[in-house]
Amino acid sequence: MAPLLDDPWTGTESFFDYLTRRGVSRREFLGFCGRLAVLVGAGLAATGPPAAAAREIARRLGSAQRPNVVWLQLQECTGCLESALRSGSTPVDELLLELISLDYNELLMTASGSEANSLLAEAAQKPHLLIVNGSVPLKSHGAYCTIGGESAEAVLKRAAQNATAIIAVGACATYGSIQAASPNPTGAVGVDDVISGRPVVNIGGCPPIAEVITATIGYYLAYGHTPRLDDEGRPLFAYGQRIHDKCPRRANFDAGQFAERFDDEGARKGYCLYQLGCKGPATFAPCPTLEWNLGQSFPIKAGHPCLGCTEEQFFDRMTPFYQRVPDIPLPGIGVESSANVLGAAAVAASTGGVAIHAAATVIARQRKRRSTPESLPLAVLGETGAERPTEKRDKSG
Amino acid sequence: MSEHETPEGDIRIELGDPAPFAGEKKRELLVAAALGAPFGTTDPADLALLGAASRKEDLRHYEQTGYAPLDPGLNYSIARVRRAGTAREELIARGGLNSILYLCRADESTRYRAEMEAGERMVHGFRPLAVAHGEPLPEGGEKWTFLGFVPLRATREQSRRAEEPGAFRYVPVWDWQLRSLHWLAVLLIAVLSVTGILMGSGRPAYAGARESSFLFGYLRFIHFAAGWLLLATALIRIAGLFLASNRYQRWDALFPVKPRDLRNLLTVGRNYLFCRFDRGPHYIGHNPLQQVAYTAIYGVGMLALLTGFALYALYAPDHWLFRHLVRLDTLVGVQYVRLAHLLVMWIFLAFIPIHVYLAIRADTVEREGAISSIISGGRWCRRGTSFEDG
Repeated sequence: MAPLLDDPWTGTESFFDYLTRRGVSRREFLGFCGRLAVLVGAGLAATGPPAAAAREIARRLGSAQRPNVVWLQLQECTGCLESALRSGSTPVDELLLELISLDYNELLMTASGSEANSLLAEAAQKPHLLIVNGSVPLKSHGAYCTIGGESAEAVLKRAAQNATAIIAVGACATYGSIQAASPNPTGAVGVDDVISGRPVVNIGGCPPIAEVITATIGYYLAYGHTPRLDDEGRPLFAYGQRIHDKCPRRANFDAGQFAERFDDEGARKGYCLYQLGCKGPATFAPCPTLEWNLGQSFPIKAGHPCLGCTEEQFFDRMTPFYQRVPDIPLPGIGVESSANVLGAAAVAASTGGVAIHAAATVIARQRKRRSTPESLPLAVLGETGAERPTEKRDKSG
Repeated sequence: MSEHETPEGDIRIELGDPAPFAGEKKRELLVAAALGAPFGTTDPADLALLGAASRKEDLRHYEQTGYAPLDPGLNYSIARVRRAGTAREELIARGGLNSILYLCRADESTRYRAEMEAGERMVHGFRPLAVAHGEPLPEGGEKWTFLGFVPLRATREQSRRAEEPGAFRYVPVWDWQLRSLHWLAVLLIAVLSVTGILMGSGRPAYAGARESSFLFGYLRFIHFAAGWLLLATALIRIAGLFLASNRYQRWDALFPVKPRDLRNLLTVGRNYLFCRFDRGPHYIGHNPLQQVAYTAIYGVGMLALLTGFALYALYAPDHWLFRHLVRLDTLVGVQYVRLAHLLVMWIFLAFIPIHVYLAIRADTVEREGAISSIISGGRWCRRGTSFEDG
């Protein structure tokens, strides 16, 4: 395939014409559209049969115009883009990613310095699709991440001004990821915390699967709007289902077959990793269906528990990664204890307390029996001060 | 209520074993002692004597024709009694042992024996009520015979139930619906705890699980089914809080909000803390401490349901109902919901010994009948006890 810069997708050419010119057969294109329809339709319950949806997507995508894309990389590790570049299970995937008019991207562009800055300024003027990797550190006036002397917040806000849609790719861009974990020293937040009043598509994951990124962009190109989102702003077609419910080891879970250690018999037999802290039951991601690196594998398939990286604040909430439930810190001691140890101790304490109280009651009763009981004066013996019954006490109730 | 004020309902008169003299029988001595009481008396000692004697003989056969109250100087009272159908009147004198012995001109041996026996029996606060029988003589004056004495004691303590047969009345407390819900919840919580522990850390239980088994799936199924049933019991109970005609089951019986109940809360807490069982506010339903404890456990149960269904909801986060529950997971993190769910189970398990102990204790030590009431629906209440919520 010809290198990117030799043969660009021009602004007036439709996507399908362009693909044809680049030697992509119609069969390959329709195959891609079919996969996209199935992927998107799985989460959307698309109206009509998938074949019709595929034709619809092919029609729309084929006639799509070349979009301008600004792909910002803020406070992040570039892992998301590395993942995205490893998309390409079909030539169309590759072309879709490579040949959007990527006007500005720190990692891939050849321009640098003031030239890069002017590219960004220029691109931000035109209507464009804004893709963001990385979080926005807000503490110390944004000093923790600056590009061309400007804070990440300012860069993002300016780039978002004329954006037709904003896609936050990766855990950093959605909420801050690892750098936002407690105590969040740089004050890192996600894109939708900075950009208010506009829908932001969050593609969660650390990193997200490349195909989810291309599918979202493809959907946007085809339909001109973003796909349906869940409450966290993630595309439902990808994040609508639990890893646990589509896990290849689910049968072992239901059978009660678990790996207890990474080197035990159960692990060798490929048993369920739940007892090793797998967060699949709490994680929504298409990993078991799409898998990674051209559909090769994903963590659970490879024998490692899911860390739950597509969920918000997974570094705070899914840790310890290799335990089923978190420990409870005992205040003041600096020791953590498991809930079961604490709970068993509470049961022992309550049983012991009951036993002690029962023993104390027995002792108190015996002491009472041995001691001389109180004896009130008796009127029939002429003793004064005898309490004589009067009318019934008033009841206020 | 200070400890030194005693509501009249709490005064207990205990009768000791009567000590008859002059060849009388205990029964006759007891009847004579009762006949010596003034007509229409409200004195608790008199009432106790009348109650005891009326079980021996029908006192309606007697008629009181006169009564001379206790003279502080003489220290005895005289009742003039006539048996129905006869014209002859008899006199019954009651009072202190020495005064009655003096009245009877008792001989030395009787006096010695009476004083010795009284000394033996008059321990633990019992004191002798001596009784004498007088016959008017034709030549004037009376001939007095020393009949013996009845040991009496007045206390604020609760006596043993056996000493007061018939002194209880049956009060229905809990509807059968509430009892069914309670025991159903007990069963469900047991099932949920066992399946929950097995699912979480029951390695021994499924160590031998074979390839084709569905052991964990069945555990989960039982757990979920029991969870749905527990939700149903909770909903019915909540509806009952507002719909029940039984006042002890309505919502306001769950919270000690009245100032009196709050004061009683402290009293009950003090009683429990210092192992006292003889006094304290009496409630037909739950006392304030029980109200606090059991309302709290209702709250814990609701937390168990909330966290449990928040976890359950993850299988269908788009569901019209579950999508709201998933918000809890999003808010605090699924793992912490899981942790809370686990802790809630341990709170329940730690609560059970205390709950069972207090209920048994209420039956055996405080005689408030909590165990019997959750089984049979009612409890035996001491007659004359005034209940705060009665």
